[in-house]
Amino acid sequence: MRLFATCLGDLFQPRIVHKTRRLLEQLGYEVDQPAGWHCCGQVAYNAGRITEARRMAEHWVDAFFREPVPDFVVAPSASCVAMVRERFPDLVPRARHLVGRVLELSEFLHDVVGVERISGRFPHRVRIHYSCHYLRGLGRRHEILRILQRLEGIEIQPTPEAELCCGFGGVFSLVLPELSLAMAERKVARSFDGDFEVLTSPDPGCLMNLRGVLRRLGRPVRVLHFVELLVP
Amino acid sequence: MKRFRDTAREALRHPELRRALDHNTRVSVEKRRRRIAETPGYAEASRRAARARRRMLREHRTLLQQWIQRARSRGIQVHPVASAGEARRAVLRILERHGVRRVVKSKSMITEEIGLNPALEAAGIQVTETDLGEWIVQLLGQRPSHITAPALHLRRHEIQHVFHEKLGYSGSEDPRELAAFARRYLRQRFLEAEAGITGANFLVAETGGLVILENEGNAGFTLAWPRLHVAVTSVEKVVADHGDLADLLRVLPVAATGQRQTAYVRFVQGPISQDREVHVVLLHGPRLDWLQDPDWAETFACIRCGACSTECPVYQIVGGHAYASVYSGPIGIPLSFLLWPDEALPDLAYACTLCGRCVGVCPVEVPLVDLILRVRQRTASRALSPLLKGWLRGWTLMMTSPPVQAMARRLLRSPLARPLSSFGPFRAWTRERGLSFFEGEEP
Repeated sequence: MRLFATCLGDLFQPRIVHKTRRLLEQLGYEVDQPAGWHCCGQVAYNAGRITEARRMAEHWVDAFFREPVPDFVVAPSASCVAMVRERFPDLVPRARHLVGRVLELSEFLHDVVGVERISGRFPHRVRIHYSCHYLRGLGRRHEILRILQRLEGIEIQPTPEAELCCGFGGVFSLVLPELSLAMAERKVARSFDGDFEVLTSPDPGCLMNLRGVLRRLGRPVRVLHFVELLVP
Repeated sequence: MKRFRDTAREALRHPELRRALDHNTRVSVEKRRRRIAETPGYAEASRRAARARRRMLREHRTLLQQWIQRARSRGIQVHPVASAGEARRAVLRILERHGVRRVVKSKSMITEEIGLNPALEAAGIQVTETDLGEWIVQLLGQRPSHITAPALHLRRHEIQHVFHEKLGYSGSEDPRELAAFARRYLRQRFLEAEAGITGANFLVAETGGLVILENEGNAGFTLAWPRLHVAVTSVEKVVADHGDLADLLRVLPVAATGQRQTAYVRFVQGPISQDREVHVVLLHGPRLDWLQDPDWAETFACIRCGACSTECPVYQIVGGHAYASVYSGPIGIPLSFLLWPDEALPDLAYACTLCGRCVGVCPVEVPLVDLILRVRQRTASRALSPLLKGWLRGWTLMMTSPPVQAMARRLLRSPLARPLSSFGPFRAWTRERGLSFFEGEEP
């Protein structure tokens, strides 16, 4: 299998990548991680810049589907995986039959590894931000919950209005920063107004957004990708 | 030129508007959710409704011919018009021929689209909207802020205030008292009116009839009391038969307002007596072109329930007026682009986080996210700032060229990294989140 660190992981949140790699190795997988930084092109695609998006997508396909073609490409980011699975068939037709092999980390753990192989200890009160791309892009929800429930001592609180967007939206937050911020504050008020210690999500983009807002609001909540709960 | 970023900022500055939108959209979302949960077979009904709309997209030319022919044979006078201007002139001609001075109207987005009310007023004709929400926004001199709930952006005391200012109302803000006052006032307008103008939700090709949905009884009054009824509508409202109609009627009220069924479903099958006339002004431009275009045809599968708007996290904060278009919310993005390519806000397509919630609630499966992305592809060059476009080009280069990437790596480790991260398009982003990109790591 190959690990797709994603550009946000490569550049801004390398800890998520290290821990994903360590987890997969602990589970007995040989992890091949192409050298350098790689971006699926989502930021350009969602900005409406198809030429740039296609260039990045072509490059991505060369890097991750090169011989020997892996059984799986795993990424710790729901939105990047949704980009590859939904949009690559049109952008890079030669990769059409391969995009099904690209899985988000919790999909891989749930569907391929099996949740019974997950163990650990995380004695904290946790809320999950499921993320729009996780819920609607990938059509998942229970996978991350079942994985986290394997952790000893964890208390997972229900997330009110789980379907509500956090206002990140990638390029949206660059074009409309004030509105994005207002949406993030509203998301925190609606979904994350309670007594818990850790906010977690399968989407690093949302995490960056929510971390900034929670810090600004002075809330003592740690914001972690779920792999950071599995690998202390 | 005004941009969505400006109109959104304006909306963000109004706490009263934020409160009204927050409350009213939340109520609407909860009602819809509960009704869907309580409606057995809703998902299947929605699939059937979506199929009925795809049939319209495929067969609209045949269906339209059939509808026009059958409507005419029922004594309905059909006036096909190619543009908003032609539509206004057609309505005016009909009214002038009958010497009409006073008109009552029930809710119609197409009349908003063609700007009918200002044209009638300019011709000296008194126009009164009779849908309660529509009448309130008319009194305020505003346009509807939502496709099916025109006054969604207002709170009760604001309605009490405008009734007081404009009509001397002295009662409370109790909705029943407000509605009773409106009923007394509007009753008089109905009795005086010489013509009634309505929209139409559906045109049934099988029968040549019109179908009009309403909750307040005002559309029934509008179309039946005056001897002259003018319906203003557009070609994509056509449906093949009563089977397709039934599928659509099953989902439209659930999606629109969380109602099991609309209070009244009016079937207009032609004039009911010799001394009455029914006219249909049927707008086809530029719709017939878009209906042929596989990239955009799906936009016209929309049945105007407005669910995408009330569920949209952007709409829930800024409201419909920020879109600066007759059609607001997610569906307003492709519609405004297609109907008013030169007037739509240049960055309107970016008024969306692509969260996909609209696609999930659309009762006829309009692929809103795909359509919005398509509008972005056509408008990116004028919507995005030169800096952002330059950044995207640079980012692409950095991600696809190993030598450029090696340079970028060296730069990132240098002391220049921090100032660079809060420059240009990132400045507002990082400032308002109280973080620089490079502080993304957990402390």
